[in-house]
Amino acid sequence: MTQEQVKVQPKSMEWKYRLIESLAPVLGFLFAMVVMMVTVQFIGESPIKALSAILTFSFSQAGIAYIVSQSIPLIIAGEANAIAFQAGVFNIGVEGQYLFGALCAGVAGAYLNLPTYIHIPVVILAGMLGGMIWILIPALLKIYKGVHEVISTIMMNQIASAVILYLVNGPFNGVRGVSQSFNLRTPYMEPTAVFPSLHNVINSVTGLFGFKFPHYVAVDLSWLIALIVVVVLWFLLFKTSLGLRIRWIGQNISASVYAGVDVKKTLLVTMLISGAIAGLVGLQEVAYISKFFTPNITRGLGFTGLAVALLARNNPLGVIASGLLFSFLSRAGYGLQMYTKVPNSLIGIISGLMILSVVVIDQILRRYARTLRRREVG
Amino acid sequence: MKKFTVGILVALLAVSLVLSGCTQPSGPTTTEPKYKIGLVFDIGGRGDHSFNDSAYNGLVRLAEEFEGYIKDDPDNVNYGTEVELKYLEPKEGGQDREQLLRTLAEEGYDLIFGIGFMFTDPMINVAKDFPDTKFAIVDGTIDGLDEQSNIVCLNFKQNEGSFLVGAIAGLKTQTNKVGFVGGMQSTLIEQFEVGYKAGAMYVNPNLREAGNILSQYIGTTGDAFKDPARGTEIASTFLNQDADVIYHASGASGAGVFQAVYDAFKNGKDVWAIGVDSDQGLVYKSSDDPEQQAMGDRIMTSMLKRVDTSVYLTGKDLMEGQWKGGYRDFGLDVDGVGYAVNDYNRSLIEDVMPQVDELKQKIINGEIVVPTNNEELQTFQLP
Repeated sequence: MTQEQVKVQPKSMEWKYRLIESLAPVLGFLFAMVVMMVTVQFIGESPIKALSAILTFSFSQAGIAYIVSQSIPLIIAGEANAIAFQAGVFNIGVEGQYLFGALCAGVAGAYLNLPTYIHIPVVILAGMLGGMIWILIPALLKIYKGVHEVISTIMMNQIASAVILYLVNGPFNGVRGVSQSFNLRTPYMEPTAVFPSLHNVINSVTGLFGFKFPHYVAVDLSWLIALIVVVVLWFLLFKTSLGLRIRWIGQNISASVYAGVDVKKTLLVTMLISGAIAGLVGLQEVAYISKFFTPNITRGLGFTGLAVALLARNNPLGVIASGLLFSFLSRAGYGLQMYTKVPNSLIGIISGLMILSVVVIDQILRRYARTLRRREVG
Repeated sequence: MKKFTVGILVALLAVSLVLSGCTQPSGPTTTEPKYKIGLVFDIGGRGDHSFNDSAYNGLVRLAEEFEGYIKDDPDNVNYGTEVELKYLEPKEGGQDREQLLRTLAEEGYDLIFGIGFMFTDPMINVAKDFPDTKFAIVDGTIDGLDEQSNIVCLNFKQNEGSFLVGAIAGLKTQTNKVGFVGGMQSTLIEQFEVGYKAGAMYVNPNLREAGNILSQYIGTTGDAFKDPARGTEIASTFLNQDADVIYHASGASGAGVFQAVYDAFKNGKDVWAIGVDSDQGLVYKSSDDPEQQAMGDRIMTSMLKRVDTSVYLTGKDLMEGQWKGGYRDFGLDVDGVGYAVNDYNRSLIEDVMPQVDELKQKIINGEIVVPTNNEELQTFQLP
């Protein structure tokens, strides 16, 4: 691309940059599959067999259903991280926030006696409130004392683990005197608090395309919650003045101050929103799958959520796609376990490598396009 | 830019072509196995020196005796093609356990194990959808099963295993005082306590006098299994009263018991702990932390729940047409419980092992009937 070219056709290259940018995740994904195959080859398993194991296992009816269903908590966790990132806040504490939020939801579901149409919203609000409580301390520390949120939220994660263990052992124990089970948990939720299944609704839509979600895959109210979170967050960030302020302080705090943004208030609101969304992450498991809260609940969704948000470039709509991708990777890992001789211990490494290559290729191509654009402008 | 994009595409194509060239034919076509047995570990999988590893050993034994092979196993366990064995491991909670059980069921596995109580709900769900597939849960209890059910709950006769470690304690004690720390006060843990007391009294007349076997429970609630601080407290009291061997059946609180014993040892006392469920001495010795390894040195032995035996015998039953649903408790007669001997404690307990094994034989023969509760202990026949 010489300068003469640019002069003759000043705008002709823009579509190519756009193409690179939009193809970046796809190329990243393909590259990740190649990385997977090379790794598998080193282990001594046939890469083609591994690839076909992953594809047939993931894109069967049940496979797709599981991928979509299991992406729900990932998408919500991704959104919780994304909004914080938009304001330049590293909310490493989504992990602790969703643990505590899930506990609050489980307790609200088990101990309150309300009619269904009030009980379910109360459970959801309890989850959000739990998440907000858990981010309140780091938020206040950051705003008034300048304590960096990475440190305080990581510490709050540790405290959350201990606190939920204490609370489920102590006041909210649902095992003692009831059953011989060793599974430490809260009492079962009241039937009025359990999320309704959305199988009929969803299947009546997907049925038009010949796809049905099997009864054993969780298709429940949390799908709707995730959808609402995505839409509301997108609207908030890009269509409201609060969203503009959030993005401003994320890009340049000093400039925002001069522009008259109340940075403290905006930060507090953003972090509380992030915490509230984080409190929703565990709801699918607590209010639909197991119907109780246990400290043995799925861990690590908060940290996966960081990567989900990163890959989506903190765009609330992009999070859907990257949540689905991460859910696919987890299903792919089980496909490898089931149908190839790749040792279980290596599957974690392969998943990690795949995630890394998706992100790295995506970033490289994006920067490449940016550089080209700058060069064109001169 | 063009070059770059084209370059990447070419590279991708080239690599995938090269790799597709590498495909080996998938070996000689094997005959379909007669039986397919699947197993899902609990989170942690192989290498935990505990339940999961023990379950794996059960699969190896099945492969050996029924000319089977473990599919996709890095250790190439292969004795024939009669039985296909396959294990999977969940990475997370949520729907993952159920997903794996279901995958095995869909792939036509005849018998599917779930290791640990966390499989309770997923197994109930999957077993409902696959009435012709057999399921077995290790160390878990599902209510309302009978012989016609397609689920069997595999549990262990803890009183018999505790009798043996009680005998070891009784033979090994120098001070003629031993201790027992229980978790939650319940009929389940009482079986450990009573078995232990019976074993210790059986071999050591001094221990038959009141007050020489110290015994205390941590609590009356589920908290008791997760309270190491209280474990330390009780064990320290026992040690101060000159007890020198302490057995615990208190789940995670046991860590506190080991801590107390280790602290007393550092203060110059020759005292020991006895672990429970898995080979806890070996677990501690396998730790990366030198402090934990040192604690492992003070664990004399452990009462073992032999998950491997339960897996082996259940698989054997299936293949010999003896399968029954419901509940099954494994005792000494089938090696369902036992005491731990490893490279670290062998020299320590070698001198008493013949005596202990003799007792084991007597229990199996029915000469000794190990009591299961305190009333039975009152009338227990001492030599």
